[in-house]
Amino acid sequence: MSTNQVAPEFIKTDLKEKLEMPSDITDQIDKNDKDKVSVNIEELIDTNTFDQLLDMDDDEDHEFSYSLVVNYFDQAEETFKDMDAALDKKDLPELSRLGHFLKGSSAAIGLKKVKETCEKIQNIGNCQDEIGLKGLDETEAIKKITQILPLVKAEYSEAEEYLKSFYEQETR
Amino acid sequence: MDQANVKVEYTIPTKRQANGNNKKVINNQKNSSGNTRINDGTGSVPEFIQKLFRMLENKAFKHTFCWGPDGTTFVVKDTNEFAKTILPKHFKHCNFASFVRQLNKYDFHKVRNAEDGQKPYGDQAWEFVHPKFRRDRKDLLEQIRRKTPGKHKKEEAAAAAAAAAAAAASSSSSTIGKDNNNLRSDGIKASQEDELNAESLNEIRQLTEKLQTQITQLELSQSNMETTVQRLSNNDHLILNEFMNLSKNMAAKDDLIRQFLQIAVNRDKETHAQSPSSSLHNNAESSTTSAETQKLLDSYSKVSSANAVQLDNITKQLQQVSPNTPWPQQQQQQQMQQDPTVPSQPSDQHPFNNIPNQSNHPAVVAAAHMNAGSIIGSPLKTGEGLAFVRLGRLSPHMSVKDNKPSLEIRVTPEQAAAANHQQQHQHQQQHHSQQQQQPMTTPVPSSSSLQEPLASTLGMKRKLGGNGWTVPPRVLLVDDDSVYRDLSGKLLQVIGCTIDLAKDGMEAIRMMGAEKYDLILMDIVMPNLDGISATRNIRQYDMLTPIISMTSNFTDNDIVQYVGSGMNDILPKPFSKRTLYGILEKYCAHLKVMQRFQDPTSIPRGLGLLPPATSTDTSSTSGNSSSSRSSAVSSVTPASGNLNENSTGSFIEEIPAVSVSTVTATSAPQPQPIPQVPTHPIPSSHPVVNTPMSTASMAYPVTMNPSMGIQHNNMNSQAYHQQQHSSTMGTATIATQPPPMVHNNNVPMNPVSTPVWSQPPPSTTTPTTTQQPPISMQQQTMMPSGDAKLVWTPNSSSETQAPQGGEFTIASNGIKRRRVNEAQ
Repeated sequence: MSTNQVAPEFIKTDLKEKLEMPSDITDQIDKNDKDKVSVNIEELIDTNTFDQLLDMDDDEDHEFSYSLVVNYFDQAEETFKDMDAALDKKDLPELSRLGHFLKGSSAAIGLKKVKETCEKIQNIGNCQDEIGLKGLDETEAIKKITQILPLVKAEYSEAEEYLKSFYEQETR
Repeated sequence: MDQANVKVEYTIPTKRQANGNNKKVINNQKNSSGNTRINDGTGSVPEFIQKLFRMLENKAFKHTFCWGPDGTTFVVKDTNEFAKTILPKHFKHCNFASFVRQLNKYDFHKVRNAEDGQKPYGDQAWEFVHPKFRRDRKDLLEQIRRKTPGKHKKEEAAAAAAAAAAAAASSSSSTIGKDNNNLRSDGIKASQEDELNAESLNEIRQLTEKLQTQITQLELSQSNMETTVQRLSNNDHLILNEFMNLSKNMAAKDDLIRQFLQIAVNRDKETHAQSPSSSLHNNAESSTTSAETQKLLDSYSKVSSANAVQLDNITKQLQQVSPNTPWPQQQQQQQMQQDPTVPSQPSDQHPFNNIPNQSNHPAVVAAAHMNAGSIIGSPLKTGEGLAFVRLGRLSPHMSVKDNKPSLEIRVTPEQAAAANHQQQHQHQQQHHSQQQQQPMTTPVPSSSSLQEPLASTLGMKRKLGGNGWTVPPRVLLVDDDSVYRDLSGKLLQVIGCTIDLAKDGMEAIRMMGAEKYDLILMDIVMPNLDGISATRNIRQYDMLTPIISMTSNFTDNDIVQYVGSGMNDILPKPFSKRTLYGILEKYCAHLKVMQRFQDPTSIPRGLGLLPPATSTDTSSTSGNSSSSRSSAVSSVTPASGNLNENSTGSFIEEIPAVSVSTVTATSAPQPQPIPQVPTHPIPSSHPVVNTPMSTASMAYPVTMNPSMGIQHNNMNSQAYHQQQHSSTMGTATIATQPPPMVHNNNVPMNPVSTPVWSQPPPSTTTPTTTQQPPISMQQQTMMPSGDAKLVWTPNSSSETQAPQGGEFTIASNGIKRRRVNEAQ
């Protein structure tokens, strides 16, 4: 996971303190932090899709695309909450549905990593492993999702940061 | 004094801002809910603000950069100087625009001098204000924060309201301010007493704020309304102008028709004079014809008067909106003048033999006749009353909403007449000398020439919808994801479609029940009712509307499921603009403008539309749909059918015979649509507007068609199992398909369609087009989209013809391209 250059601290503290991530994941984050210093925007956002979205703006202030992005933020926050709840209830189908749902809208905006992780959640929720083959049992699935969910939230935060700063620059 | 003012202002606003403004800001944020980092109110003053403050305090720059008169704003008197000398010292750049941008980021706003008209600093000066940036309120500085994009608008509004309220209230609070002033000897910190004193003012301020915002909003809406009204009145003017053109054209047409009639009459006289022997033969007929001709002329006059009346009505309505239409009356007068002249023509010589046979709608025919064969502007006395048959001249909605064949093009009576002339002379007077025939040909060119200008005007006026749609496609978008709904909605709007949104399958079904759409974009995974079940449900009563599934799941299994439930195509998510447009082009091709019409040399559409009287293939169930219109149209057909002995085609084909050389040349590349015309009565939804090509092609494939049609029908039913009546589909070609789509016929969508397409090209195109419009259109336009495998699976309820009744709902709201030949 590459973290945004602007807010590495934020993400890390958030993740580690708020989400109680398992240590292996936090180690991974730390490691990646050292590996990658700069943000790789290409990895984060699919510029083709995002540019297409920007294209649809009527004028320079990106009103339409920004409202769409804001809408997406809301939707994502909601979905994360629902995911947390579903995870508590160990409701795999629900998790899968939520993953699919968020995957779609992430893809629409072009947030590649979020989309991929959502797809993983979708598959795991269906008791398929990360690439779609069947074979997971429920407890394993729950465990995996418990690990992945913080990841997707982090990726989302990263994307959110980037988009917010992007629009800040653009609209002013 | 100065100080007092300053203090006054900051006292109250401080309160308000501290209490109300911040709350507003925080409460209104919905986008940064998760991110408190940017907006927390604690912490030190941002560096930019510190610098700014220090710069202002430093009186060294007073001539370029200083506080405003009351200390609530600061002014840059000379931007160039400022940028050159001051900016580089404190900031890293010397760009005034960047400075301004940064100011904006911190929620500073430029004060516009125009309001109070004072320009104490000169025209070059820039004055900035921030509610928390005041000379004497250093404690407020730390509350200045960069704003996040989402809330900036709200903050602006709040700030604007606050500023306005502040301005309004400041004057009233001067007295109180003075009191506060005394308490504030140190001038910076708010004391308890200040707060107490300001409480009461607070409420006043808040009230004022609210009122101010309301006023602003009202003003906004007022200006919006004014703009709308302006726009509407502009539209009215445009419409009126169109009307004027319309009337002029009609008058011109009437003129030409009269001339033509005159010529014809004269010729008849000559004919009779030349061949006394056949005159008996003729007389007998002519006597009959004369009666009928008289009927014709009578109906013409009826029609033209009705025409005038209608024009009058419309003008009146328009006049109500914009009273500048003196011309319609003139037009009417002209028409009235024309009317008497028409009946006065010698009617007994008129060989309008076959046309009058259509006793059903003499008015229609007459109208068509009188309008020089162009549908444009010929009012038809349909069952629903007079309707202007126009090809999208005026608002596209006119034609759409009435479900009238706005594109219904009937055989131009001129050509019909000419054809009749020819026919008559050919068949009945074959023993006559060639001389007789020769004069006959003269009307033809004249009628063709009539149509040329019409055709060109037709072509020019075609584009009414955006992007070349004659009518904006109506799309139903079903998706539970609001992001996708917004995104796709916007994309479709850009293309020029009208969109309805549905959140899930249930809503989609409900909306389908209420309205007809040209296209449905259906998400699969949805709450309440998923896409597949919704599609199944819809397909129970609607076979025609194309349903496209949007989803990111498209394994083979999924695809089979989708098509099995009745979907027509797949649009994988995430989709690009291109793929979406491609789908639209495919399925709403019939709504696209036919560019072909702009070619004046091609046979006017009118020619192509008359159905070859045949309707031999009565298997067409197209009955219900076209109702009066089609019956009116078809009424013309039988007449022509009588005429023709050699071809099943209508008399129209005679005309092509004359100019077929030119037409066929052009039509060569365009195989389809026309061939169909002759054979089968097409369900009404077939686009009436035929390309000139179609006309030409009608000439030759006419004979082929009956057999082809039947053959195709069989093949169709086998190969496609399509929902529509494959039987009826025979002729109804989507005449208006643009050429590229035509070619696509040969590239059917995928394996299933291949067998069908293996027929020889001419016939291939024929059957294809004979498909019911939705299917055929789809097929024709089904460019092999790389992104989805399309498997055509039969719809279980394929053979039910009832719902379709030839009324292809897919195009029901669009221009109903109905084949004239749907003799039902």
